[in-house]
Amino acid sequence: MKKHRVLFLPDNKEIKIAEGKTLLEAARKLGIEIQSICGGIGACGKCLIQVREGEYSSYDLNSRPEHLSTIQSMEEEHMSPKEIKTNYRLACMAGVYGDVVVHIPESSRLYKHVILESGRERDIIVNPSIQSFYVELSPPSLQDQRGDLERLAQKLQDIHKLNDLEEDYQVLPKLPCRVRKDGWKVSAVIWDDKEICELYGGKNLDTYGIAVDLGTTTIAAYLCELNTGNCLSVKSTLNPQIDYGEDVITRINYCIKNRKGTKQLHKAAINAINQLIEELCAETNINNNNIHEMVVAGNTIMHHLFLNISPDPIGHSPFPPALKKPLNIKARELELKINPGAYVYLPPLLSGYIGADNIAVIIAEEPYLKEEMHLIIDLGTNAEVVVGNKEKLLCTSSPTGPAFEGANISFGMRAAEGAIEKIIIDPETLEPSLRIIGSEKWFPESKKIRPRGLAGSGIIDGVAELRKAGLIDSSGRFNFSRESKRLFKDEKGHSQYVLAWAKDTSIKRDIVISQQDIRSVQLAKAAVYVGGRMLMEQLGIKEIDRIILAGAFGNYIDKENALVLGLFPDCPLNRIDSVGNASGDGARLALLNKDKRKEAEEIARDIQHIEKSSDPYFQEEFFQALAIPHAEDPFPTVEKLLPENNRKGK
Amino acid sequence: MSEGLFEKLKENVLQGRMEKEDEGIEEGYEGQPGVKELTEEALEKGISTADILEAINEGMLSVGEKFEKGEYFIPDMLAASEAVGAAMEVLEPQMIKEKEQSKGKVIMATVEGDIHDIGKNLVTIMLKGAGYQVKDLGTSVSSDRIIEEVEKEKPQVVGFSALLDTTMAEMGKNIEALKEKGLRDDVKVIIGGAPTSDPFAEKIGADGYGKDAFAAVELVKKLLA
Ligand code: B12
Repeated sequence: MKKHRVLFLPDNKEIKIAEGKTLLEAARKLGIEIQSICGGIGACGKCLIQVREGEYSSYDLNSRPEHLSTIQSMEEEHMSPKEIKTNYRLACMAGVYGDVVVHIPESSRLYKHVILESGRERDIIVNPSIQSFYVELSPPSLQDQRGDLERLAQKLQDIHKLNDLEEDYQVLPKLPCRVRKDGWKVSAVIWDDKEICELYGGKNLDTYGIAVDLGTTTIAAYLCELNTGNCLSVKSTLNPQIDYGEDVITRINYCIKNRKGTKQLHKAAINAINQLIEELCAETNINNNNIHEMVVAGNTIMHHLFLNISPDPIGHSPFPPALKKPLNIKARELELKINPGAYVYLPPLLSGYIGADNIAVIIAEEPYLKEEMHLIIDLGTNAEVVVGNKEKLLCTSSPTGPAFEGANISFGMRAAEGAIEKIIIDPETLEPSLRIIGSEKWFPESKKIRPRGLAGSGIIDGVAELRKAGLIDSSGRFNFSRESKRLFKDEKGHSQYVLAWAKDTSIKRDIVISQQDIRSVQLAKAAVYVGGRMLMEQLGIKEIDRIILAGAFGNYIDKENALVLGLFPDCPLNRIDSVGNASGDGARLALLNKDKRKEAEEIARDIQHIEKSSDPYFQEEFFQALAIPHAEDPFPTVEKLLPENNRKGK
Repeated sequence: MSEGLFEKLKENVLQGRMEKEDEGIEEGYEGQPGVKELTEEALEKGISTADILEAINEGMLSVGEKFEKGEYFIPDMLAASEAVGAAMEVLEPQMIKEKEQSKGKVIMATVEGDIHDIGKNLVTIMLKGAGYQVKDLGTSVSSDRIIEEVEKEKPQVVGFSALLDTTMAEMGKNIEALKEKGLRDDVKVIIGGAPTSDPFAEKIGADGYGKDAFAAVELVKKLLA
């Protein structure tokens, strides 16, 4: 098979790749991270790169745009006429048919981004399923010829009331040596009062565990001391499965299309978690063999891939998971680099699109213990929504889509340096002020850090601020009777509002919110709103006492602006809590307190899952929820912020 | 038709107003005659249904342009097509009298394994508004069912909708099934839904792809011309 050379600049990395492979594949092989939100099907336009033309003699390389497959019309849709002329391409669509030099613009790169690791402060009851018991055994004699194991088991039964203990195989080969090593004094690590999973000579009561929040986008791992409940270190990373697709459906599709897909994604997740384990251990100086338990909470697809179970059936209606029950699996089976005899606990699943991550959020927030009517939203590409209190809990999943993560948004990007995270638009002058990640001051007063794009919280702020300033009406349409040099139609007749002029941005282009961006946000927010609203209707309630926004994203969004946008039903601002990564907290609680696992299993049994796809009113509710904040439902909390001169939504 | 009435019809389609009491998409229309009243007026004045349909069609084209630019959104599109529906209701008895035939028959379905139907519903409404007879088979429709309906209804066009990356492949399977039954040459196949595209349509051997409900109407017109 023919091979060709691809040189990436400014990275200065080169690869020889088989003819017909795409530039995106070439970059991936080199470990160069390019944004690819749609999973490489030419739909998101985020992997824009430029092909250089000419002889690169120092590399002995003749680069020509014709060395790539011909440009397709769907690529051109994502480009300005100038970009088309200057040999821009989408890396995922451009096949390599000759040597090329490729420049990757800053705006197409995936940056290490801000990940929220700690949730809110919570009282934690420490009652781990792992305990280390120190016992002193009597040595054998001619009168007492019990085996070492029986001797140990008997002692554990006599002193600690541990009956009928089983043992992990790894204990057996070490047994004779370990019991004798320290004069018949041993520490046995026992799991759930049922199994000896490790044995140490002498006194060793320290046990550690790791809780993992296995998210579609990010993975966070918490190393905890199981005796005290202290969290010693937290590490997080982007989920490397992102290379195979941004959302769960594209990943399922990858598994359907590629014979080894499930295995590849499985390996990617395991490797990433092993990397985190290594970092946690290095930082705390703890031997990874002393990690005796792990809890992993993720959505159903992450759960399946973690276990190397094919997620294919979840891609089609009726979207069935392979299993729902809680699991305990040995670390060695999954090649996790903790103690090989340790168990990995996976909380139960509720459905194909409501997973253990959601259960983790629920056991962290405990709405089932409370009188107040709760609405819990875990905001992500899929928003899981829970409504209820101690009487009853309902849940559903709302397909937000990745708009709040920057896809389908012209200048959307992840929360990384240079991303606009907060926006205020002066209702008089119609001029914006921006807060940019990496800078303490507001732009344009300070121009130390130049904006590169819009983070999710900035997208919400942007649309809400446009609405408050009367620059868009409740239907989401730009209102040209508000005059501003920032509001205009481009050469193709597309309306937009400029947040930052090209001269001030790091990408040398105007950063704008376009009419289409607003439409994407409307689709996304309507899906979330309707999720909550339909559960409320099901329960026959009109008001919510407390709204809980879980997920890292929840911490950054401006609650008032989220209400102006109509992301969720009205509620006084002081009753809306952003709790950060509640799913990570729930995983930690399950690690430190085994009763929490029982609660998780009870919830999984009792919670009622509402299927929206069969609801005949969905469409109507959805259309009403497209209006900003809503076509019918009242929003007393933010009413005064909405300009009266706007027409009512249709 | 009098220039004024023609323009008014067009304008009110654009404003998505069925009747007098309706608000428009912009302010200040309430109380003025809507598409229904205007159509009645036109008929009374003896204007031909063809001319009336022409005005409505022009209105719809402008709606499509505005939708394309994002100026109009889904509820606006729906309002406009409902206004057209109101006109069709007025026109229907007249059309039957004039023995105007339906422009053609279309079958629409969301493919097996997919439950998203909002987009397909909008396409259905718009096609009906444009004068086609449409049978909507609903969501998660199996190829067997599609074959059965194509055999029974003998439509000129069948349209498939899919919103999931994982279900779009069903469209290709449906086309294969049509071929197997020797029905492929009898119907045009059109496809749509967010993950699909022109190249995809080409790849699976569909006759066309439409990126929105307006494009769907244009596509059907083109294919049946
Ligand atoms: C509404 C919605 C739902 C509703 C569907 C209700 C219904 N009756 O249709 C509900 C809540 C049930 C739903 C469920 C799911 N959804 Co959903 N859903 C959406 C959402 C928010 C909007 C889709 C929509 O209606 N758009 C508006 C219509 C008008 O546009 P359209 O469908 O594209 O149609 C236009 C054109 O495409 C074209 N067209 C359409 N069909 C055809 C056909 C022909 C022949 C032609 C010519 C043209 C044409 O014309 C239409 C009008 O202009 C999108 C996300 C988003 N922001 O877009 C996700 C989305 C489509 N869903 C998604 C997913 C994954 C799901 C689930 C499978 C999982 C989940 N929970 O998230 C579930 C199903 C599981 C379950 N058990 O329910 C994903 C798909 C991802 C992917 N890569 O494939 C999306 C993109 C969100 C995301 N998470 O990224 N969903």
